[in-house]
Amino acid sequence: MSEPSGRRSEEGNTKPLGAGLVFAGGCPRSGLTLLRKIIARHPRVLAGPDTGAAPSIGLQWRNYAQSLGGLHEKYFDLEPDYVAETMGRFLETILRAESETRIILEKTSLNITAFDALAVILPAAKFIHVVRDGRDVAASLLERNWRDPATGQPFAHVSDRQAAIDYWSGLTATGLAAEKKLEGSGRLIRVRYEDLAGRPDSAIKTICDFLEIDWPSAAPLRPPLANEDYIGLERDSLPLMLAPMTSSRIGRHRRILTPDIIRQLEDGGRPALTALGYL
Amino acid sequence: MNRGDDLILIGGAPRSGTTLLRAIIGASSNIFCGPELRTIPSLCTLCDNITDASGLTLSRAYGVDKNRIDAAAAGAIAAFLAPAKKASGAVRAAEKTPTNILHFPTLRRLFPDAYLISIVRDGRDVVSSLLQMTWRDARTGEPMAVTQSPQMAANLWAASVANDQAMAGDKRFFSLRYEDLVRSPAEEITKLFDFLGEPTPNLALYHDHVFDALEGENEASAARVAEPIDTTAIGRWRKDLAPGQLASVNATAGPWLERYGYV
Repeated sequence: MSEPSGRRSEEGNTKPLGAGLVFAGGCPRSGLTLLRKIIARHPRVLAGPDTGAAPSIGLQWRNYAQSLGGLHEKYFDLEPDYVAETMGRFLETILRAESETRIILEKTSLNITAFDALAVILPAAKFIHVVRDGRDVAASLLERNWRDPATGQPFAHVSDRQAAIDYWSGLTATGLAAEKKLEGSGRLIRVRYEDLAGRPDSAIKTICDFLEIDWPSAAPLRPPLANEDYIGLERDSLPLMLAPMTSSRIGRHRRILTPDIIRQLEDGGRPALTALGYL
Repeated sequence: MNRGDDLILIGGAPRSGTTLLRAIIGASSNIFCGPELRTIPSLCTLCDNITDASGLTLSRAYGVDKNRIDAAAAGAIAAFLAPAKKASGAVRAAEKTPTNILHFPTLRRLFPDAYLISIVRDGRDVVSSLLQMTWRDARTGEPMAVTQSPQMAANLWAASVANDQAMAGDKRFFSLRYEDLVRSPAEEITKLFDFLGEPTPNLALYHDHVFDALEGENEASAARVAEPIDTTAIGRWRKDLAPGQLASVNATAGPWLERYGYV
């Protein structure tokens, strides 16, 4: 039976788990697909669609650590670091094909719920917290027709204003907590949708610096993602993604929501809106 | 690829005698068989969920095929068992978490050469026993449905025996009956170790001499299993189940009870 022992590079050196893996996360409708659209053109980055694998494995590890850690240590000689490494290797193997050497950026929005767990099981992984004005996010969520497959009913966060802003607030607070936990580690940056859409050159430079790569000025970029490259919920944004970049959706809530509704969203999301500088 | 030829996985509906089985198998010095690891069912579920929900995405966009997902899950399961096996000096590792049985088809895919062992007990006795349990859901703190509802308990039993049936014909799968094991332990234990290709350890018949009940602190049957084998739990449903409860079990699991010759 195999035991975790670090990933071997081509040179035979042991690389820390998660090296070259980047997880982006944030509230849905915050610009994660836009981030992918931009970064996927870099020849050294594989920016793929949502897989859901990272939060599933990260949260399962947390459950093991909290519920079974004592049992595992006592009867199975399973040290906490070993269990973390085992789960990290499980995830890394799923996301990285044997021959893949590029940086892998995976952007399941709910990665945000597991940033802290992923930071433990993949000690060299990096994280991008994508944020957007909660009022614009809530406005966008309320236009979705996302339904619970079990009941056929629309999810509360796409059908009820308070639930929409609560959803954004909750996920944003989770992201801010992860930022605090990883503060000073150089492993997490926050990227604003408003910068991605409004000042893309500057946002791209920030992201490339974080990933320790240059944006290629001379080398050819990969072709833009095509229709069929967008998968699952990403296709909700398809017309926008296939169109030229635009900053016109920044502050869109002011055009499509009434002042009363905006006030309700601001009241509901005030702590997170203030923390991110939107209020 | 880890084909799992040194791996023995034990499952069965909870309250079917899986702890007794692990005590018997653990009597062999060649086999490490600790208490319930409790990670194998969830790792199988993770593997299947990721494959079902994102297998196509992983293949198309990341170049990761289903075999690699399976290999990742198999690697994790093997890694969970490796340190204890190494520390024990045993050459094989066995693991019994009752609900392993619900994942035997997945486990066979992950470990083509692993030895899979199922134990089946009269579903009416299983339900009787489950209804005596005080198990609570770790997340909600609420009593588990299978300890409250005869129908839910019978459903779990039926799902378990359906998987036992699904494995029939697999050359490295062995199914035994709880009733046969406690009525004719010497004969059944010999068959079991023959299947595993191991000499029957002298202590297997006297597992109560070596079984450490304290090690099974999270196993409801550990204290009972630390006693010599007896047949007193066969047919307990006759005094434990109320007529309404029995009717519920029969309505839910009747065809499987019939198929296994219990009715």
